[in-house]
Amino acid sequence: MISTSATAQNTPKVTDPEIAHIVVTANQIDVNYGKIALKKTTNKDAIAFAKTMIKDHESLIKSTLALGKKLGVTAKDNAVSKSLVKGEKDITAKLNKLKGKAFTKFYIDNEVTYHEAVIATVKNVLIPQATNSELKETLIKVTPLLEHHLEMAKMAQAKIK
Amino acid sequence: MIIGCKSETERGANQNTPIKIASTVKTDTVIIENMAFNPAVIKINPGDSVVWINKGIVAHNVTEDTAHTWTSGDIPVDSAWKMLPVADFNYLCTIHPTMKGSVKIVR
Repeated sequence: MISTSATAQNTPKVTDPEIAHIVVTANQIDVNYGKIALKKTTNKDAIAFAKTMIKDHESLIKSTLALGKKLGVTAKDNAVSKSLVKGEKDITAKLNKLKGKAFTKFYIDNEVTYHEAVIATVKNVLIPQATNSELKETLIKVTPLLEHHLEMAKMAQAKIK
Repeated sequence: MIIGCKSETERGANQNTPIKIASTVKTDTVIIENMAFNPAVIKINPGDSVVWINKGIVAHNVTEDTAHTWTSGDIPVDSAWKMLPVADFNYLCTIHPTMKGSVKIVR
């Protein structure tokens, strides 16, 4: 899981190709969580939320890859992406063990935490360090969507308690 | 030009004479951007159409708010959807349900 508190000392340095990789990875992880949720939850709010996450994040992956192709930027693996993938393995293991209401609660609680962390990373690490103006602009434009997802996750969380 | 019939109370000697509702009709625009409908409340004249243009980064829709009785279906990025309102209504994007708007016909 990525930290929500990046200080000047521990803010990772990333390049545009690494930023592209982080964006695709972070989006894919949420698609993956959503697909697990659709298999396991019967809660209608969680189902609606998961469907939106899958739809939106798949769309963002597509547009990010298209932008990379347009800019001649090939996504490059890096420490931040690796950290995201490690976090995904841990969360997925927990999701796979849980059932019923416990599963739904864990899924939604994790969505709140995950979106908070991703928003912080986009604002504090990716946007400041993106050098290509179109990439930077895309990251700025995606922020309201991520914040909306966080709002949706919190609304679902309040209903599921 | 859009025309309609007179109401019973308005009919005089020429009971079948249609009256003009609006001399010019136009299309009003709602921009979908930054996870919002802009303007959120759009006031239109009778006979005007409304077009929703998606300038956001993911698909949205325009769906009647109360019972989802009608919907635009997904409006992809850089696409638009147009309708001719005949009554006031509230709507939302069912993909992102906190995105809401309304259309009011100024009579």
